[in-house]
Amino acid sequence: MTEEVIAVTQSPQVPQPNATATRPPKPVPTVEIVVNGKKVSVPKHVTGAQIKSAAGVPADFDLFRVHNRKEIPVANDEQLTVTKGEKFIASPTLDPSFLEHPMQAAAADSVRDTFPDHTIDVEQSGDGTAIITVRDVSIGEGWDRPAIDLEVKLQVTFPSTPPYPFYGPAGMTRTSGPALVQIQPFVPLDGQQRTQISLNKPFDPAAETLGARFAAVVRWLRSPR
Amino acid sequence: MTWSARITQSDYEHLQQHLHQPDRDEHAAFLYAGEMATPDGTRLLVRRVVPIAAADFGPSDRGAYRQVSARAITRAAIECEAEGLRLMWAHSHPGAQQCVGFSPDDLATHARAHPHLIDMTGGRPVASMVMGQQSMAGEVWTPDGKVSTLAHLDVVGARMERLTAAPVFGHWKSPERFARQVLMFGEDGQRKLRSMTVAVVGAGGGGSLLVQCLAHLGVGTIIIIDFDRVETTNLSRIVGATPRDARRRRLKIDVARRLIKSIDPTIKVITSSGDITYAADARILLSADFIFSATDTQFARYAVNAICHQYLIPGAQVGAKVVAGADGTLNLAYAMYRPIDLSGACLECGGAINPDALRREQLGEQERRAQNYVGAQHGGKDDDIVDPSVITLNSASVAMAMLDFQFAATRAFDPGTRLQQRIYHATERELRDREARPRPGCRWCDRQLELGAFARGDDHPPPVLPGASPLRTSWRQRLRNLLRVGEER
Repeated sequence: MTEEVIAVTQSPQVPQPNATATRPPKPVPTVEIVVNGKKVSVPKHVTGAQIKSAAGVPADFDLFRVHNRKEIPVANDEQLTVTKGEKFIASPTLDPSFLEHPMQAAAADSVRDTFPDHTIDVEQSGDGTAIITVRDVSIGEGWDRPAIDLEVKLQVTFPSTPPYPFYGPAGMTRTSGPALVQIQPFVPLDGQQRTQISLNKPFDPAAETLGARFAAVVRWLRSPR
Repeated sequence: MTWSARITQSDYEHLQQHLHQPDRDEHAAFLYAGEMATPDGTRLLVRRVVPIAAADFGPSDRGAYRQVSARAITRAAIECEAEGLRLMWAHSHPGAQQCVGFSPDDLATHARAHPHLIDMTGGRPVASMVMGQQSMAGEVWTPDGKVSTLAHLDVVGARMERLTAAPVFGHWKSPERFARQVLMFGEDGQRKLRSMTVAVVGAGGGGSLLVQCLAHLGVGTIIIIDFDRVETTNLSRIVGATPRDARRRRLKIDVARRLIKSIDPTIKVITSSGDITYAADARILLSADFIFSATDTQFARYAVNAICHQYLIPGAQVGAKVVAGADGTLNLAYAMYRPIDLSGACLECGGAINPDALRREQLGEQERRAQNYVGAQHGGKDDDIVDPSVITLNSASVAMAMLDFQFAATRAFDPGTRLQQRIYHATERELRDREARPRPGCRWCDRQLELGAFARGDDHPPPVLPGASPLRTSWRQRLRNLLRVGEER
């Protein structure tokens, strides 16, 4: 989008010397309108882009004419005839996102892709860490429960630091087979008890996603060694 | 200066239901707010929640996740500007529970858009909030170019809670005296009560019982306002008042202060011998988190109702009524409790304020006597007739009010709970709830009414008499009164 710049005048234009002209050019009549609460002088016949330019608002804002408390969109190239005191609003958009940390956000997306049928919760804390939880994951036989909420805490330095350890609900125990050194049934995590699942393998973010790492942990839980 | 915000429970539930939908996607809403100065800073008072429709919250074309359309923003800006309100907007981080914070995209959109939103809404502050399931982080942008943190969002109503960006773990450990009730409220609940400032308007029969209960519960700061003095006829009802207080004509607030300090000397007590029907005296209530009204007069009741709704301070009115015939027969005896939970009907809509009595109370002595038509039938003494009163009925009313207060303050009520007026008909031994509905066009509780005072804060003039009460007793007089050796009336 090109930005049209117009001359804004508040007093009659001073005729410029022109060798070929015999009469001075007619001054462009200007009108004072209100854009975003501020008075702006524009030509009586003006485009939407010219109004934005004269008001000093970014060209990518959307312009609306305000009439009887209703907003009427004005296109950039739309020709308007404005009247004194007429109100306009030039508005930006608001563009929010929902994870503070772009790497953590991408990691959460990969978990959603890997577990499309599960609820994925992302809880951020004030220190920049985020706990990502996959709800109700089936972990197969041999455990005291068929399914768990599996979670991992991503540090602010993720993925430079690996997603480790993973956690399940406190008190997870095997009902068959030997005890596993990777399972510690009562460890604190942010003031609450969890079962720590200690599978520490190198994590290469170029080759592996967090979703894939979650899937690997689930596979191990289903047939632990 | 600290910025904070306050929202009613019904608006908060409406907001969260929209922001945290079963699709677990991000959603957004506008909030229109009034503003008030507090001793700590400035508080935004949410007057209306306007959910942003899916059509106005599509994918972002600026590299973020979502985008609120310029048209929706313009519509909100027009409404805020027309009504003189501040524009707030909120969006959800669906996975966030007890901790939440702005993303880099969120902060970038603040920097890009907020200065323009301030211009679009008449140069008023603009605030943004990101909501987790039980958390809130916020920013306030002001016309001077400053960006401040929105420290907390207080939810007021039947389930009072404070949302912050992350859980706040206080260091206050409840003393042993509260051990039994901590078993009921938990340490968190006791801490909440300790952090509260509760105002009691009227320190007579009902007020003294309220004050006693609040002190025993462990409320941290108690404000008491009453210009009246103890008389011998009060001794049957005012808890803590002695014959000596009556002989000395001691201020009721001084008796209440002594009562509180005898129960728990660590409680901060703020007293005023002013009259809340005067603006300067009423300001003492604005720092309260909850206001109990225990006054006999309609004007004081009206003032409490108005202040609660204009400044989003929840409250309750307690009272009792006994009607006895000239022959001594008991015609009627009931205790009543009326909550002001800000999500339902106000006291005026609930029938607690008698317009004719309110009018008469504002008349001068001569005018009142001249207009006292009914009184003429009683030998010109209608407004001077003394109603029967008894501590047991006051206690019943206070018990109902304190139970609801205690459960609301400690978040023991389920979400969605709405408090109702409750009447105990003593002669019939029957407890009844009375449903009160907000009247359309009510100045206090109809938030659609453009000129309404709901959540307007300092934007609207105080709804009471200007200045301070002429009856207010100066500190010098009060001290002299306290030191004076007892003298018989």
